[in-house]
Amino acid sequence: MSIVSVQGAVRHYEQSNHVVKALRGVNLNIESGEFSALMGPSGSGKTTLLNLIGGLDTPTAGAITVDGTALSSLAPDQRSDLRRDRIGFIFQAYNLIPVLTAQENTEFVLMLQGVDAATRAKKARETLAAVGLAGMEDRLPSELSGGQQQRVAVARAIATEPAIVLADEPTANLDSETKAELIALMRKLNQEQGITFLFSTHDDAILEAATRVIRLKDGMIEADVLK
Amino acid sequence: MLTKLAFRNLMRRPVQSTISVLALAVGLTLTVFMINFQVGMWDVIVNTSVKAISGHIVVQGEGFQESQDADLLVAESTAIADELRRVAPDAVVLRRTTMAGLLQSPNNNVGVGISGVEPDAEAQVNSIADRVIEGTWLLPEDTKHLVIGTKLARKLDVELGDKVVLMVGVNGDYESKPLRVRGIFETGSRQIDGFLVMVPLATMQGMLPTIDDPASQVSVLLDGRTEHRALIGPARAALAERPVEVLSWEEAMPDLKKSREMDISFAFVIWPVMALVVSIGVLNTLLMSLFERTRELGVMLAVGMKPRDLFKLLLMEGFILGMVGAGLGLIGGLLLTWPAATMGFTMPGMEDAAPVSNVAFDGVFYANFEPLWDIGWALFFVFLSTVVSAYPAWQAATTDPVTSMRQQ
Repeated sequence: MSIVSVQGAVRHYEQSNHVVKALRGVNLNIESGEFSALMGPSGSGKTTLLNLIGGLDTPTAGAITVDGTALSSLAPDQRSDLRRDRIGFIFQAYNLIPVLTAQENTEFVLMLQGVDAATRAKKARETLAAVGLAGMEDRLPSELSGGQQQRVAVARAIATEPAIVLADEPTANLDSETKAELIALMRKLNQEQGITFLFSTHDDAILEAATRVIRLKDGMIEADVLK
Repeated sequence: MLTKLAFRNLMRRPVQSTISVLALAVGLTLTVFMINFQVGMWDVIVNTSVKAISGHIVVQGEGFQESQDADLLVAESTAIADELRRVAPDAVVLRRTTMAGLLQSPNNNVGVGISGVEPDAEAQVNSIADRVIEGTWLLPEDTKHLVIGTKLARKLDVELGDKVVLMVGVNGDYESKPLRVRGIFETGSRQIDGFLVMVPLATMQGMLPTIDDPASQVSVLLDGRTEHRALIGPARAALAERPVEVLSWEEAMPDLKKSREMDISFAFVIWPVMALVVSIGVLNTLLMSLFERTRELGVMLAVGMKPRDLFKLLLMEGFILGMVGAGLGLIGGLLLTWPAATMGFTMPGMEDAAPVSNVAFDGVFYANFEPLWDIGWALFFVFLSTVVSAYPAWQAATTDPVTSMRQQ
């Protein structure tokens, strides 16, 4: 079953009086349970495509469906709801809320969903334990290492049991050892819990672990390899 | 969790937040104190004027209010006073005559204002009775004496026991009566001490032989618990057959009422401006904070926070600053009001500052605790602090998450 369907996605930007053609007609389906990676050089359109799938940006042309919902049919608030309920995000620079503890950061999206305090506290503790951060619930991001912060970001992304996790260069700021641990963690979550991951990455380690690699070049899919 | 998040966000810049809170607190402290003092000061002015001039309700000759003709006297003033006592059994009812005249001594003649009063009743309400510094206050049946102010005594070059002649113009004729100085008062007011003569009502009535039991006015003075407006109707009904007018103090002393209203209205211009100025501190704090959190706010929107919830978060930060500042300011204002309400506040030079004539202030004013106004102002500061935070909140809510997350 397709979790994500991208049909003829085009995205043009106005920049300094000229048009940047970031995507030039991308067709892509992501199936449930995939551990896929978008790769390509800088400016190839990886992040743009990820933002379109995440409902953070709108295509100039084309249609995108996430978990059976056509994004073009959604009002801004409905897009927020879709991101909150069906999509998990992991960003390159951790992007945790610095004044909230690991536990509270993990609870944040659950809180937005209106989950009651006891349930979300329990869920956040379990999720943090699943990403190897048991006992660190009360630490602020500033008290955690980069790898630990990114694990909190993973916990926040998966705590709501989303249809897909979109990860934009999640290992870019990590050392090799931490990077390997984080990739192993996400692969484990993918295999054991069936969570679908779509990465935008340059990282060979992710490309090696990915079950499918989609190569973008100049805003178009150049290759789509299922391993 | 949003409240917790708002609190913690404010604590990211503790110095800036503290300065904003202190600015709000100091602004509200001053506002509460000044309003309490202003209302208290006007209460002293109004109460003193009401006691000395009109009473809360005044009965005077029909047409007097418009013409201010001193010859328009009420007749049968004792009967009128009895009627008024039936309407307001707990009130002090006073009869007075107020006329212009001339006071002669062997050495000088001075134009004066003459107040004919019931000495015992007047002593209960008029502080001049307590300010006799030489001799004694008037006696009810003693129609041979008067009391005058220190300045008038100097002008006439008279002392206690000296003889003076009081002349009053009545319907074109002059009535004169020799009297002796029984007491000399000093209020500090040059106008009163140099102009006012007080004699028993019986003395004045003796000089106005053509009218039965005359008085310029019959005044009703109520205790603070009785609402005088409620008694106007019954008093008018009780005296409907008589050629008199029954007025509230506001009607009898419209200038005093207007002065009070204008002064207090002015506060409603000054203090909101002060509130607005200190609220700019809140705006500045939130804008600085917003600038630092651009990326983070973008992430919040990206993970599914609705723009209106982000708006609420920033609004809550302004609200919290306002609540803490207003709480401290309210406490500060009440603490500052306390000594001014209990011990009073001396304002030298206020003796002659009365908006109505012949009213002596002792220059000591008291602040009032005005809980409804104080809380109202505190809520206004909270409201303003929340309202100004709407601008940064709106900026945050209209942030594009993708652009924001690119910010370093």
